Amino acid sequence: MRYIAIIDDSPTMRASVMLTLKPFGYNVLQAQHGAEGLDVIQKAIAEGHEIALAICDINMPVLDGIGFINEFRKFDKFTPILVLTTESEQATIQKGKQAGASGWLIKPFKPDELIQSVERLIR
Amino acid sequence: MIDNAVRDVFLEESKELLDTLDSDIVRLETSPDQDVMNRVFRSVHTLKGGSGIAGYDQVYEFTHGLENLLDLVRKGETQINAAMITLLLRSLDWIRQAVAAADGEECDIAVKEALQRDINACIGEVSAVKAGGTHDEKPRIIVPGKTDAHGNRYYHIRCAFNEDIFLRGIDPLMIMEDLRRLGTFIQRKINKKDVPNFDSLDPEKCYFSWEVVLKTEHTIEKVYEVFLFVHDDNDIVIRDITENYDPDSADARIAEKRIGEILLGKGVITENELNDVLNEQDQKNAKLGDLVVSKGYATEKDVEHALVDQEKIKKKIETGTVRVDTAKLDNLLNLLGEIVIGQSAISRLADDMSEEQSFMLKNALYGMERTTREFQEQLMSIRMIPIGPSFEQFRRFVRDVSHSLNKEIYLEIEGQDTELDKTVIERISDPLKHMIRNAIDHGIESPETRAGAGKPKSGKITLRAYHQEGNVFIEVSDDGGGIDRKEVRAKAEALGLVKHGEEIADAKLLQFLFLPGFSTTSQVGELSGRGVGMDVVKNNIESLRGSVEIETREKIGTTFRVKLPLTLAIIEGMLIRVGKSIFILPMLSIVESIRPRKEDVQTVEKKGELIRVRGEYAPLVRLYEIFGIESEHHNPWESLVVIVESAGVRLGIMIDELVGQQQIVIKSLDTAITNSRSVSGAAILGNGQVALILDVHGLLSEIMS
Repeated sequence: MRYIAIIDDSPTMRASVMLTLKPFGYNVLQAQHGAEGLDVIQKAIAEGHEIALAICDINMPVLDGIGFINEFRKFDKFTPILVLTTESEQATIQKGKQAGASGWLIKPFKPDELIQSVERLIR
Repeated sequence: MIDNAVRDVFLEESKELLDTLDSDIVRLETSPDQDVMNRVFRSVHTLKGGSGIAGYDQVYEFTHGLENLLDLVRKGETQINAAMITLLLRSLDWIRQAVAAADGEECDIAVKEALQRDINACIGEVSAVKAGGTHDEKPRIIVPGKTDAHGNRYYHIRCAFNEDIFLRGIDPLMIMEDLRRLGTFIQRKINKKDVPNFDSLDPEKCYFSWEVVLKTEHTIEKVYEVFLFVHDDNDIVIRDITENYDPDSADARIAEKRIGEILLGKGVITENELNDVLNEQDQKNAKLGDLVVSKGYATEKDVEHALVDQEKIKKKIETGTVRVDTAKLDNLLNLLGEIVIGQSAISRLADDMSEEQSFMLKNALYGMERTTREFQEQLMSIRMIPIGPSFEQFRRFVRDVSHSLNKEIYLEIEGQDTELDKTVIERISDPLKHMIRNAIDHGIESPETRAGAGKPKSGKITLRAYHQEGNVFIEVSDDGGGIDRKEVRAKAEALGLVKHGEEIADAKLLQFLFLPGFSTTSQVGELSGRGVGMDVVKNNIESLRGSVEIETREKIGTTFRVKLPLTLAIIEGMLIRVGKSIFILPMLSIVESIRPRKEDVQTVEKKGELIRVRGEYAPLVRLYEIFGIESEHHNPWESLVVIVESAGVRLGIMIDELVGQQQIVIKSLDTAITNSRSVSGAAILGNGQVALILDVHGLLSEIMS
């Protein structure tokens, strides 16, 4: 199966991403922070699944978004990563891109903005 | 619906966050600790994000200010003090109230504004010291560019992507595709000069650059949006060239060409004549239609007709499409279901009226029912997609599998335009794959055997789809050696499914192949033939309320024929009554209904009650026992028994009355309501009563265990 992973410490954000993507036929994996994200993704890959896209927050406990992207890119160079960020963190967009993020989305976003960003990165 | 679910999650989350914040902020007062400070900041940050998403705009705006203040504290630009702690705690209280005030309308704006003033004052103090550290957002003035007479704009776009773009998970081709969706490329150039020699080529790098002219109705903003993720660190140049482009003549030319093609297609002019006219048109710059007439190739009437056709074609092209969330379609269908229920309720009322009134009302209802049925069909057709693409994916599969078995097999596809429900297509893919694999492995013989039997060396598998009698049929056929009935029989006897010398119908014998653990191949193939699989295939098909049968002819081949309903949302159901309760049985699974004789009912040890129907015994089920309800009859020979069948196994269900046949819009039940396998869903009847839909397959497996 193809999955989209949402890595965010806020359950609200995870629920909103999941509920938005589900009706469009995307399967969603969830994780609370970068480290759990890597865990969940690697487990899914080991079980033969495919990660189509990772969506991650920047400000997270344990392992933050930039750390996650760095680690993720060590074993996967090409899968797109969408960074969730806020207006107050604009500078992190640049950092994220250097680490290998593909795109970004400013919180709070509307469902169709999320869908648009996702579809801009995967088909 | 989504909003509510997200709100619920946010309510939970905010409660936790606020509690942690409370204790953390109190802790800050006694011992200023950077870790705690960071956590406070993060919590408020998360609170802000969540409230924004969950639609608590007041809270969002408020936490934004709070976050700014905390950011300054976190960066050490201001010291936290007792007054600030109090302010923070009071802010938390306000947030708590605002979140609790359900729809956010009743939250206390006056308190909020007072708090905001205080927060701003705190920030202001710091900012005053720092003097203008905040960044202003530049105002953006959007001036939409000019368009041509048809509302089109023309952009020259040069995209030279960074070599390392793939490593950011971005596929430039996808961007080009997005671009093309905005309009049409009327010029296109791919620059390949940077592609190095093969030995120094790095497949992880992008060496191409593109140059296109895009014709589109959209503004340049929209075009920039396509490059949103890439335009600041890649070399993307977009120029509006609408002015120096001369679109009218080019457009006219395209149209003229089409006129020529239409005339050609109608056989009015020949290809030579068309070329001749087109050449001349290049020199003279006249209208093609006029030229054709002046040359005597066609009459004016012909050209007029062609022009009308051209308009039609244009209109066809302009027919737009809309992408719709499937949940919305489901919703519509559900609503329509409610209308049908309403109609039957009215129809019931009509029964109580005087004859004349009843007749008139029912007549009116008939017309309405016809419309609703048509509405339903139209609605269903939206969910339908052609099966072609799903079939196509098997080409590669057949090739790979047959090669691995040293067989030559080609796949033929028929009826790819056949449409069926999207969900059905998704769920039928796996069973089909298994049947195809089976056909490759067991169905088609090795090239040597085939040559010996006088058949062409390469085998053929045909995937076929067609509509018949309101169902969809999908067939997987091979031109192999067919299934050896003797072997099947021998195996069935060995398993005790059939007695030696006992007569058995061909179709029934072949159905054994779908039993778990039943496999006839003496050699266990690597791919199939371990006896795992065909039973799963059958189960999968039955869960789609379909059925599968086998047709096989020795030396000629085998066909697996899958019969599927057009949709999963509606079934043809039989209403049955037990006591005061109504249940629904899918018509598909009903074989017959009988009134048994007393001597036909027997109780067998460990097998429970059995009923003899046409010489065979089937288990008997008393629904009133399973569901714990009242029943009018307690002896099978006094009541009716409906015989149902699933996976070749029969079952007798004891009922009080057959109420009637009806189209049922299925409402799925939450597992919280029932996790019984005997029930597959529910429906609302005309009188508002809820009826459970019985799942025969589940009922059987529950009884068997």
